[in-house]
Amino acid sequence: MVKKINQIITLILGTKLMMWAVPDSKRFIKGIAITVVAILLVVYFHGEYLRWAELSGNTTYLSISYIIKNLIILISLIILFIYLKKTKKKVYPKVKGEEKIYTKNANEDYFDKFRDKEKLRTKAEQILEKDEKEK
Amino acid sequence: MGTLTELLKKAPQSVKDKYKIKIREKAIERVKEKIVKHNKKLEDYSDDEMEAMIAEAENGLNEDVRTTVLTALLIGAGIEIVAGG
Repeated sequence: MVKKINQIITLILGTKLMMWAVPDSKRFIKGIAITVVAILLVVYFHGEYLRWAELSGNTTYLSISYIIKNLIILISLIILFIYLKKTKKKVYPKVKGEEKIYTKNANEDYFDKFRDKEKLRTKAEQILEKDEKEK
Repeated sequence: MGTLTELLKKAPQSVKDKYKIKIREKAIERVKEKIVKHNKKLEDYSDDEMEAMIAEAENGLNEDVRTTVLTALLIGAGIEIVAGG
């Protein structure tokens, strides 16, 4: 029992770690999952139709049903491909009331210079640096 | 704590970069919250002041991450001992 709980915790932590390391993995998993569900549904409904056609003896649309089934699967795969290829626009997390801090001259882009900096200096480091320059 | 630092040094560069980006973004978020809370505007701070605020928030976040990782490791070790016993 405890081992099972441990396995579940490891699985959850592993998934969290993967989502954190590769943020797009969420989008990838979502796309694949939706496509798989769509394909499975198509296969299921086509199977149902085949059984009905076999029992009723009505095979008028049998060949068309195969074409439609394969077309839907193909379209699903194309949509998945486009969805995964499309790059998502970089959106930074918003803070409640954030718009109040911006002015005409300083907007969200203002923070880009700090995002791109390799190492940020704390107040103490800035003072030390200033002192060294003055010497 | 030293072991953790050693472990981080051994991590691949891509993971380190992602970690840095994530922490920096979170730090910026915290600073924004702080500015909103104090009813100030971006222009009320100089670049150096802003840099210092973000750097301090970043340091705080790094400390939080270290504590969380250590706690998780201790919990994991505890579960292993219980499962083993």
